[in-house]
Amino acid sequence: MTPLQTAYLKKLRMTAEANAAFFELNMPSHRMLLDESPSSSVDITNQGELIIRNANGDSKPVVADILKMEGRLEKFSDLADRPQILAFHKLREVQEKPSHGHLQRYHYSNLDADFPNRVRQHFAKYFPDNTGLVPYPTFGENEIPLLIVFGSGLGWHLPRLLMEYRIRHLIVIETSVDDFRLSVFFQDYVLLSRMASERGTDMVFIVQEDVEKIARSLMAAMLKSNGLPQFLIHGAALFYALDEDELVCKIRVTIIETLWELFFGLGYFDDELITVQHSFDNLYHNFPIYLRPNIVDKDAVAFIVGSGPSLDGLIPLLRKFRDRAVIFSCGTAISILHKMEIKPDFHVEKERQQVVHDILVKSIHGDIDFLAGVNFIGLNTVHSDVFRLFERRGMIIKAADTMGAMLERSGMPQQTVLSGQPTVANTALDFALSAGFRNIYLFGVDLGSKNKEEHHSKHTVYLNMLPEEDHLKTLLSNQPDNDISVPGNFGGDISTNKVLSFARRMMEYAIVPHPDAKVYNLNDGALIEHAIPLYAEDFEAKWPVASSKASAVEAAMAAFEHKEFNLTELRQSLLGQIDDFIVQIAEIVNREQNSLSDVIDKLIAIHRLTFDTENMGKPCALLFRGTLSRLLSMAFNAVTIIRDQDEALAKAEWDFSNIVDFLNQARIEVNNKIEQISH
Amino acid sequence: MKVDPLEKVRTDKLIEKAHKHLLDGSIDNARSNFQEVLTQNPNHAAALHGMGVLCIQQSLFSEGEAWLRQATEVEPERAGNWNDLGESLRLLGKSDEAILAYRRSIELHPSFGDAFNNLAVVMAGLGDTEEAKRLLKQAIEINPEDPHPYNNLGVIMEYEGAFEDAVQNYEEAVKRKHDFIEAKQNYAGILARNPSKLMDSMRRLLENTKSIC
Repeated sequence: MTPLQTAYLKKLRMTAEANAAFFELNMPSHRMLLDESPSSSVDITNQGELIIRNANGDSKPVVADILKMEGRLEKFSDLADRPQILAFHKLREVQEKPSHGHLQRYHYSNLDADFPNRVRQHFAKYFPDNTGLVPYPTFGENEIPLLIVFGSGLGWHLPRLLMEYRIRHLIVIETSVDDFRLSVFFQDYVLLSRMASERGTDMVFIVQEDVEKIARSLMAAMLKSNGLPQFLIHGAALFYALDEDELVCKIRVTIIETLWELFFGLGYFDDELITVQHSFDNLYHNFPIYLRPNIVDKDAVAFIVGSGPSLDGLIPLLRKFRDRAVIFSCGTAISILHKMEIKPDFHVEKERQQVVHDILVKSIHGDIDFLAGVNFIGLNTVHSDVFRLFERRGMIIKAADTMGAMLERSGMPQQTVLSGQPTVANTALDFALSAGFRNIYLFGVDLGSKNKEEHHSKHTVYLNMLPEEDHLKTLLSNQPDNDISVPGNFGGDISTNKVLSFARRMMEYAIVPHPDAKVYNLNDGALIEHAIPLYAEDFEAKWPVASSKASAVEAAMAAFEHKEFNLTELRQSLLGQIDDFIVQIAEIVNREQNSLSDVIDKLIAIHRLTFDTENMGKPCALLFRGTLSRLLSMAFNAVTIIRDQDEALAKAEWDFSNIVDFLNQARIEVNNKIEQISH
Repeated sequence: MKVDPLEKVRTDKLIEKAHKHLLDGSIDNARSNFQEVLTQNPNHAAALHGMGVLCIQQSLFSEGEAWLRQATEVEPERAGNWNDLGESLRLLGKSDEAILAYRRSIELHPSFGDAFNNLAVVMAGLGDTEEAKRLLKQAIEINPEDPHPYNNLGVIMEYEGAFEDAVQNYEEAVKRKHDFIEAKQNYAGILARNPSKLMDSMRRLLENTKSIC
């Protein structure tokens, strides 16, 4: 080996060493990837060929791709030729009378429908056709709010992209761990990171071969604290540092198809307004509040009963052990239990709509006597009419909720504020684990099914318990499509939908903090990690020595206590926080704007008022983030396709003003809804 | 929000375009732009004003007066509207009304040199040359680089037989605007009629040239 070859190899290996230290410090998971093949290294053959040598002795030549990459960079510089992700809102789809359609009667506010409609009206007025618009989003000279790079390659392209464009967020997706390992010899990631820092670029590396996990990591990157706003996915530029193969296509499609999740769970102002009113009402009625965790004997057993298709086959088991376990009926499961004449110990509800009362009564055919002796647990969002159907009731304060955040600030212990999302079975499981149950069996909690068309028990109210003409049927028929495949509890794959898939993950998160708890999954539905799959025939063999059911029920009810809140102060505090929030937004809106970049700065600043780590738990962030996200996204959509910059800035000015109008109107509605309670 | 910013941007751009056409002499295009704005907003002051100016340019003084009156009604605090209304009235021979319009303009904008100059022209036309001279001197004080008050002052001086002062004022006007045809004609005319002033004038011009060098 010549002295030059020796020195060059030494340089490459030193670079890799520095990168390893860098990743250990900043991105530990990537360091782990490097550790998987610690003896991988570059070498030079006797023929003078630069190769990478793997731990198992395999080697492959290092192909200098600098010219190839130059060609790609040149192609990328042509805006007309640059691949982008497009997520257009229907900016001209104006509604004559914006509403929630046939569900309008269940809503307290029309602002979620009205203000986006105003945006559409405004856009359609000035841009009735595509005159004055560009076909793809543009962000000003060399500005790229979000760039997704496929492939780390040898890394030449990354500093070039960073230097040549003003990139706010850079996400590098590498589907080949081997290629990533190779890149660490050639790319100085320390320098790259410093360069990104100096250029104001937030940089994320996702090294992952599994497509679903890539999409998840991308979502996590987008939702991470101080991360990039969801609306930036529209117009995200794509740079291909590798040849576009089937996998890359699949990743791209997966990213686009899972975009909806970026908005999932953000809710609407209307949801939060309902919560505010119902919470004030429930506090006014002084329902006992969940305040004492871990109060239930560790040997107590809980059955959490959902209305999934597996419940039908588990009814005999449920009937046989009904006297030995505390039965939690979740939402519509009550109709099946009623039909089977199995009285639950607790009925749990989480939905905020007033219609829950009607559904509940109808689902037991008006047999209110059936509810005698049943204890009720509801989130603070649930209407007080539902609480009043039961003699004994308790209220759980919901996390990530406007009033939950308010009450936490008013002295609610944090550990008793529960997530309880997104399904009522999640609420029941969260409560059971928090209250101290350590033996929990899931009945009819399928979270999907092997048959795409079947996602509830045949006895459930969803399918056959309501008359044809009943409006509730229409309401309940709006079930999301089953279009996601996840591993089955007893093997194979099952079909699920977006909500149930999310519910599955939330159950997994709920179980993890309770390693001493055994959660048995009896259902032929989705696999729930950290829950133990259990066939019905093995049930008795696993049956623990259970403590008294009656004492467990009493202990669980004792977890709820009366707590006085000064509702006048609470109201003033909430309104005061809304006023402060509006002032903060107005301050951002009033900042000077001379370019599209300034507009994007403002959009991001507003977004951060609801999504930054220090803000996201605040009542106003929770109250407004859903509707604000939509309005910001629509504004971003519009201003980035208006050809004339003066017009784009003027459009942004109107959109910002519309946001402030929305907030002022929302403030009036919050005040009015609380006012109704005090009268 | 009272004015939609997008509407304002679009209207401002149309008005800007119309003004460019006015300067280029593309009267039909200018008219079409102003009318487009007025179709959207019949009370758009800049468009009403533009239509008035356009009509004056086409010697349609009565029509101009009507547009400019509307402009002053929509935007009564804008001195330019009153000044141009004064112009249309002056050109229609309505001196008294023109004086009122110019005075209103000066009241709103006391350093509006054009209005002083225009008012001076009306006053001179009515025979009040003293007041006219006073106003023109004020106009020069406000904007010493505007050639028009010098030219007008030259005319009054020549009329009063103060040829030396008249020549000097014409000189000042031409110095400030080399293509000011009216001033050049006045200047050439007075020198032709008073050849004795020619040498003094040449000397002043040479001195001026030296001082520039």
